[in-house]
Amino acid sequence: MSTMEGLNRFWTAYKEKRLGLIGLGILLFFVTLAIFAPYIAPYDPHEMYKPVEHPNSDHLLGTNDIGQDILSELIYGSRVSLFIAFFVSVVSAIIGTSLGLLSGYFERIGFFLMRIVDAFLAIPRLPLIIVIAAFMPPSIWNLIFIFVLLGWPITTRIIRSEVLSLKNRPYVDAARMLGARDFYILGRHILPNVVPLIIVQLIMEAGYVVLAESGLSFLGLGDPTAKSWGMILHYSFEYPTIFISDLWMWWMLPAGLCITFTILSLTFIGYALEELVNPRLKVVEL
Amino acid sequence: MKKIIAIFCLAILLCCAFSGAAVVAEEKVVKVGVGAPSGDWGYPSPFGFYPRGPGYIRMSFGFDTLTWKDQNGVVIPWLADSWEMSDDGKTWTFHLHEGVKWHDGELFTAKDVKFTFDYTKKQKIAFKWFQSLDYIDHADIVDDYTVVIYLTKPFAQFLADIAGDVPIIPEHIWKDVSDPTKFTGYEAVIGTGPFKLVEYNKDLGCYEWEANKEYFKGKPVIDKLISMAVNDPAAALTTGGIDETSFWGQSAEAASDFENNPDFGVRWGPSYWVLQVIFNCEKYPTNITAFRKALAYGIDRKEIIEQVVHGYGISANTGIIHPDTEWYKPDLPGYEHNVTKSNEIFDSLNFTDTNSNGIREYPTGEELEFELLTIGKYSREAELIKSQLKEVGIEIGVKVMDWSTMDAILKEGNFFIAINGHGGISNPRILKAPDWPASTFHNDDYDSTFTAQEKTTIVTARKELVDHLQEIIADDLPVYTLYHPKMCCVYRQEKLDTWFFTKGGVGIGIPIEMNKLVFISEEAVSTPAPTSTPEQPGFEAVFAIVGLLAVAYLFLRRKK
Repeated sequence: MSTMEGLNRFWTAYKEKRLGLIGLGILLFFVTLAIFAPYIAPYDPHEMYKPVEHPNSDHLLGTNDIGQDILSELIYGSRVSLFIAFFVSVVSAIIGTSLGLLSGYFERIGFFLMRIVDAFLAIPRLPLIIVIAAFMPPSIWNLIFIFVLLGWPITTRIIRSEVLSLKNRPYVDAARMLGARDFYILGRHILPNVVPLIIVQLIMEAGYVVLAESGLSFLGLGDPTAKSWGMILHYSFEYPTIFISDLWMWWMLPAGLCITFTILSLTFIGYALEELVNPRLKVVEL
Repeated sequence: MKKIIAIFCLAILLCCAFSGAAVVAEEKVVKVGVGAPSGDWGYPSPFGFYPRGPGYIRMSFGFDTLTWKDQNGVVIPWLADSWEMSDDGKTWTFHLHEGVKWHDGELFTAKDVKFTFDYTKKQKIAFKWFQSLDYIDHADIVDDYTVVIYLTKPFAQFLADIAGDVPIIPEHIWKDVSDPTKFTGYEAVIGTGPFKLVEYNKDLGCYEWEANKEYFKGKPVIDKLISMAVNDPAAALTTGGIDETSFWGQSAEAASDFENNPDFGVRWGPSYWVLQVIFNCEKYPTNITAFRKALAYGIDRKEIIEQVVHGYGISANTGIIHPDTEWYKPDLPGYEHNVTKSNEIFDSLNFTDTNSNGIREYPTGEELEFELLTIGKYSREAELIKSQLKEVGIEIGVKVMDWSTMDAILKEGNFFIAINGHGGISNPRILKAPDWPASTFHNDDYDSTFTAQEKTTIVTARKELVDHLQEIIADDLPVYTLYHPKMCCVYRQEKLDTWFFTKGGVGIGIPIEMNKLVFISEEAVSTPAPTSTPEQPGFEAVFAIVGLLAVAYLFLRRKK
């Protein structure tokens, strides 16, 4: 079974999951926003107009405390959140998977790697992220670095345990007896079987990163000049009359909803995938 | 049976009525709210508070000074009833108020005053608030209520800045204290002040005082004063969680929501506060004066005032001193936004964009990028400055930190530019270090002028010197001042409506509406006789009368 074939079968099964499709739809919406932000957003999010305007025909969601168009901020904000989420999840999936494959297949490497993974997993993630973020100059790349640094061990652990069971399957033994080299077996016979797991892990990680990034920005630990949803929340919370006037309705709420829906969509997708990956898909395979 | 119950009820109601009306007079509590997380200003003992305005204010509730300032900034008698200055300006004789008692009941005398000045001078490092104690030579007791203070040299601001600033502490408590900063607890806050500290909670940023009923200037008009940190002062004020709070700069916008509400009063005042861009004058390239000027030309203060503080601020005097004071030097260069001029200066200094990426390079070829330090509160200002400086080819990264970290970094000198603010700019004393608290600026002319003005007791001559100081700052630009925020306090009228901003600021210039005079009735200040407030029948009385009527009605019905 090639990787492509696996994905095809995967998609056919996925199409049956209604929740998964809804999730995918929402996610696609935000991805479109992010990619075409300069064309969709009515203004440059850094451009300044009259501050704290209520929604009107010029500014559909009004303007923020320094007069930037909130709608444009939201649209550009999807770039930051999704970019960080996908970049981090892909990079940590790549690192996690390769290390997972190696450590599962070559047990001696595995032993050492797993001790490192243990160390990383033993530390609670979010507090550590906050501590590191507080000491590093706030920038998107530093955030990405922190998330990747703490994101790969989980993937490694999951992939390794799968590889441990896969490598003793008869078809792998057969390939080995026919003279296949280790890396050929890993790439050809084991990797395709862990792809679904990787995708689930990737999606879960993305959801986590969206939330963590927003959280850090909200706490004021992100780049204060970046336009992200968390930063919008941060500044709106700091505004003195945010809760005694109607401001929160078009300033705070939409940013909160964007974060919520993004994470919700990723969670839906994650659920759908997990249902597929857990015994069912394997039943089909056997 | 019913009759017995009815009589029983009647008796209870009668008891309620009389005891309620006679004994239970409602305690008058005023809660002051401070925007979290800045509620904690240290233990309010003279050596325990954080060396910032709000810390001093909290300490000043418990401790008194020889003189004090009224609403108009006039120095008025306080612990001292009167005073004389010798002709050479170096000897001051104070006649103290008699019969003042410490919170623990001991009598306040000249011995305490002498002790205070000797002790504070000895513990100069511990007493972080005031730096000019060098002026004090020693103090002498003439009799129980007369004390003479000898200065090393004449000091123009002595009455307001030393006599009106150094809190007098009780000798019988402090004489054995060797490390005053570590001395906390009940005894450390025994003063003569209008309030006694009941509770201090560092983590919650909460202080609670009760009125000193035997205060020599009259019993405070409230029974309890609470200062607490709240997340959202405007919301807390609306819901009644707090009774007073103050807003400044952009947040003063919140006041407009209260201005039309009859339950609330709003009072405006100058903040005597300035937000400034601090340059490191010791580190290349910000040590080049022309470079600093080019940066100043690149910054658009008007845009910052409009966009960030929404007009609730005024363009700052580049000589730091606030325009609403007698020391203000008008017409100093403002370095108003001028991109061409900024570009010209950078070009002439050889900071040019050689690789046309929109960012200038050092003459050595490295990209001209640096970090702008700020605290979270001013990150919007930083954001604007970042985009403004980008237009003149300077790339800036904004780094946000908390203010204690910021203060430490500024002291170490490990920065290029920073945004930070400070108050006290109604008083020439603040010019001691124009880039306070960074202190990277060195100029001999400046230092000698500063020392000279401190000694000059003739106001006009001193004014000239202070003008010169402001000129040097505006010219050398160790800091580029951005704006002076406007300030206001909003209060619930029925709780207390005597709030005011002191002209020139409380003490050495603290722009806070909590001058202790706010809590003392005006007559009491002029004629120190404690007044008692008549007790009014509360709701208990009304309740009892209604009850009586109801019982009477029941009786009548039964008879029918």
